[in-house]
Amino acid sequence: MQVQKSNADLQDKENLKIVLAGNPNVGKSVVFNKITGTYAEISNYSGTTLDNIEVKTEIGKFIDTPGIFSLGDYNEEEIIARQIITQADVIVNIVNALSLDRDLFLTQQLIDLGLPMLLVLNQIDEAEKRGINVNIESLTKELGIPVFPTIAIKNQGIQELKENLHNAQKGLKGSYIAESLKDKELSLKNILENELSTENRESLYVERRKRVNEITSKTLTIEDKFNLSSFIGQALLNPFVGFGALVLVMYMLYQVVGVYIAGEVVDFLENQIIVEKYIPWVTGLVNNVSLPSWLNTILVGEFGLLTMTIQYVFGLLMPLIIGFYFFMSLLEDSGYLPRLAVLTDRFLSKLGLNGKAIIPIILGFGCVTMAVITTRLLGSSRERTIASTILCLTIPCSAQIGLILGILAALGSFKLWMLYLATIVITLIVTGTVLNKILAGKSTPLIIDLPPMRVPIIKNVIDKTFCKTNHFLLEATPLFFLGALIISVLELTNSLKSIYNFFSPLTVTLLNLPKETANIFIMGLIRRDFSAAGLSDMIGMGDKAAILTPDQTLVSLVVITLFVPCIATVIVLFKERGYKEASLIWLGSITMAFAVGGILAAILSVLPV
Amino acid sequence: MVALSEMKIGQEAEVQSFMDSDIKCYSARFGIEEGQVVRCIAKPGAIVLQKNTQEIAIGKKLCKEIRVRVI
Repeated sequence: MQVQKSNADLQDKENLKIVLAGNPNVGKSVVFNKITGTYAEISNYSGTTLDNIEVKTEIGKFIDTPGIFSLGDYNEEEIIARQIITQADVIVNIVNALSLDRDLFLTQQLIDLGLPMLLVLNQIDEAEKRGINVNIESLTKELGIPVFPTIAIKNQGIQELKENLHNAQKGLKGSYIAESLKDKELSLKNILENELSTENRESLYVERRKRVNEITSKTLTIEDKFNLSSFIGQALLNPFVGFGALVLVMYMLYQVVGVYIAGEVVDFLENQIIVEKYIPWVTGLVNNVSLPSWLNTILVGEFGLLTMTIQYVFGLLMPLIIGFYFFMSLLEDSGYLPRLAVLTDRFLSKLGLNGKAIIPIILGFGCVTMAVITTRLLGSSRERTIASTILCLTIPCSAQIGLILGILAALGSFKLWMLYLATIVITLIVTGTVLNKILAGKSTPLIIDLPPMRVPIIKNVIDKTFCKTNHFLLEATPLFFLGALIISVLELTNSLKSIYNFFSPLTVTLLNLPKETANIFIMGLIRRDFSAAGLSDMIGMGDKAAILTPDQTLVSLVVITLFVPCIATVIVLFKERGYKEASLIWLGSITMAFAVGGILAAILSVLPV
Repeated sequence: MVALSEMKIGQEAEVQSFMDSDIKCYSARFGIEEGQVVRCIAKPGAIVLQKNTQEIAIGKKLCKEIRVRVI
């Protein structure tokens, strides 16, 4: 593999391939966004970028890579990142001034590749606040590459960086490489840790660390300063404070999304705008055109594409997911999630996971599809299997949880709310414990870097909320149309009643529900939030009369939560976990949903709420 | 010498050795190496260490594999 390129090449070369590389959570995606003017998701925890993201600009092609600690092959992100880094014309290495001694370990490895490089020293404002001073001149001399101090989130230093991309230099390679390896061979294979024996790798790491320590001793000074963010961060590591904060966040979420948005905002949008104004208008419009009656039913019937689908997507789900994503973005950007990972490590290790798994689980409350991809940040395939199963089975996604909160708030029973939570949590614990017992292998231990606590930047929170809502609408709307179309066709062909009767042993006998609830399970095969929307109609939240009692609502809520994940998640699951495992998770979800629902219905028939 | 998991909140210690090479390499990536002085700042199951201004959480199992000398 040829990686030697001279600096003169850069001046003449058009379409430079500029690769952004660095440790997790140093601000790569912020720098990427500011340089390219696009939006790559950013958060205050490791592992937000899991794939390479490319954008072409006038200067060249910019590629954002996942955060890595080394160019080895410890995990998938390292393999993905190193494939693209070794092909770069220019490497923009972003380091965090707060953790310079840690980050320079990768910097030195990148320099050893012999490619033109620039160093971005980000978050210098935060570092100064904490008493960390970096001598830029000395750092430039020690590394042999240009260094640009930045506060990327405030766009400071970005312009200078853009103007100097052609001035990237090959840095000073570590002389230690040849000395530290037994075969004395300085090769790309060694630098990339390919086929290195454990002994050689250890020796290489020790020597590289020594070189980094030498650099930091000449460039870094630290004064002891009190810092509020650090104080809050440490307080949140106390189980009482940390879990207390979690309870407070959940209560606020319930009040804002469940009570205010699902109550007031949805009532205004769904009932006053869509049901009272839009649906009569669109129905009149379609009725004025003489269409065949079947087409009329498909367009504006009970499950109409232009009536029910629009009502569910824009009247009901859109306001809920905007509220939910706004909340989630605040949480993601604050730095609280990695601390929650530390607090939950002991519990999650009993389920065959480590604390890091709390990140995909919490993100699953936003979107299970994305969360299944995020399980890549877990250290082993075994952990990814357990986490993916838990996500697909027990974690309701944003729109669904918004509706669940709304339905529980409408029923107004604290006892129901607790019973619902207890059922889901018990299912989660039983599933994790059983998988931990039956799956071969061991789980990896936790080692995680805690980012500083930050006040979220409202612009990023709004951008992220907008970006995720947009993604939701683009992904969910076609599936909602498909679901509504299937149900309308079933109704037109008189199959719906046969299906109700066919499923009645499950719905009526096992779950003690009216047979019409088969409808919400058919909707659930397409998307779980679609079935929650159907359920909200059945308890009388929309314009229809209630047909379910509170006990039946609870059973239905549990079944649709545990029921199969949405089509998009299933596709990702097949891609991430393979055909066999994904099929097992899918079928297992259906079985578990009806089994747990059946047990709950039996208990409630003896001990009603 | 004691295991890292034996550290108490507020104590400082110097990292002495790692039980195996993989753990040593993995820890080096986070800046934890032999001779490094770390401070235990929290212990909610996992151990949270402070190294300069950097905070690193290490799971209990892994802590048993790292030997330190309390200062």
